[in-house]
Amino acid sequence: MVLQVNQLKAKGMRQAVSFSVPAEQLVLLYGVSGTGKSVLMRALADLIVHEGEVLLDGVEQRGLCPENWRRQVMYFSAETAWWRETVEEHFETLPSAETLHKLGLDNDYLKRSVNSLSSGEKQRLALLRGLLYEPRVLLLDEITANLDFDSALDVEKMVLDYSRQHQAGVLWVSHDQAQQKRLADSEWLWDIEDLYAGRPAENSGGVAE
Amino acid sequence: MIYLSYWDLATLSVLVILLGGLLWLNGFTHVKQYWWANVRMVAQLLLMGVWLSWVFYAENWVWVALVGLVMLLAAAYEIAKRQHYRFHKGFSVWIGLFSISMTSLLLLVGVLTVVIEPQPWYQAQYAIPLLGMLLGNSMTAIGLGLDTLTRNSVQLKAQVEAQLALGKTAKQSMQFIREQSLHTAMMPVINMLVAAGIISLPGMMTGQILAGTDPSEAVKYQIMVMFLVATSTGLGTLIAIYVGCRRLFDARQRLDLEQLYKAK
Repeated sequence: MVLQVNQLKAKGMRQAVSFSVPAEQLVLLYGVSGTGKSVLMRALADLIVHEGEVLLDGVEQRGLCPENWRRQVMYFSAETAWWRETVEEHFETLPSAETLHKLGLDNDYLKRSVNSLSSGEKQRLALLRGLLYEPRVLLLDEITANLDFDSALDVEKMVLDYSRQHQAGVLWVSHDQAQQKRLADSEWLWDIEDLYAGRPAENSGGVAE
Repeated sequence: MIYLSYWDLATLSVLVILLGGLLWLNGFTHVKQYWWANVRMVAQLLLMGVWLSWVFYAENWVWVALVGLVMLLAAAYEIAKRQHYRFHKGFSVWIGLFSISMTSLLLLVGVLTVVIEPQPWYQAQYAIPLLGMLLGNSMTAIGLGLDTLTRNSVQLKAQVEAQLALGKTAKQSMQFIREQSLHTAMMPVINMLVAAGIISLPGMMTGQILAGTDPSEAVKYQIMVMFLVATSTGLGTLIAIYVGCRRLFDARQRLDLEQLYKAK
């Protein structure tokens, strides 16, 4: 078990949810907007106030300092956020040329102004700056929603490569049906409504209690 | 010193009234505020004049302390009033009061007891004008700094949370906003320092020169005041930003914008 969630509830969620995501598993979550998917993801990363327990390999969220928890259970948003002028200022340790090359980028990108990047490049770099911390669970909140098809495929590949290499769990909110088909089989395609109803337990067998 | 009569002032007020008419004719939308500001200014200053003459005459520390307290409270209230987003439960006023007390007030006491050393050290003639100058400048800077901090926290929430999500501390995640707040707060003071003596004759010096003091003496006082003003505004802003930042995060380092409400 990687991530286990017991009776988690936050403002914006209709009711508490419980589930768990095993190691290396990619789970796709969908549902009508405004039903609390983002809230759920943000609560998992401990970015908002919530009730209930979240455990990573049996260690409770509250048992770790927030920085430590968020580096392991990392949240990524659809709209990438940048707080400095150039790309490199957003990296604590700079990625190697090789790493950048694999993503179809090169060293010049680090010196570039954030405003000069396409949304696809922004999303890849935003993912990269997080993945360099080697999180164990990725919470992806519609991270390809603003991207064209090819960029979305690049991002998908990046996530899949990472999760295979690091045996990381992935919880991915996506409304794109083609993407859902590409990434997850029906067992790991969850409707938020089912979570509220306590149902993914039946088909995944992975739900606690 | 040449004294002004109330008639002189009344004659000069014609200028202000004429300008009011001109503004009104040109569709200025805040004519009412303009009148009110003028009336308020005159009333406040007249009262202050009467009140201060009395305090100077009484030579009692209780009265000096009382005037000081009223000035501190008014400054704290003005800081809070300038906030677009305010903290709940009047916390903005507390931030203002705390930051100016820790800087303007302490600096004043320090400079009176160590540098100027009037007898007694709390002598109203020195204490009150100095406090006024420190408070006036600090109030502007702290008000601006805190406003930039809270506004940016609301508007740049995504940028703060993205950093939190990367496992940065609240302090690290707010660094870029703190820098902006400090910049906005300090600009007026830095401009004032740069302009002093070339573009503008600072108020205190002007007053002393008008009252017959030798300009080179007045300049020394002015330099001292500038040092105090710069220190007091800078430190006050740092304190206010620090306290404000802490208030915006909970124990789990989550950005908690519910601490704020939008002023009407």
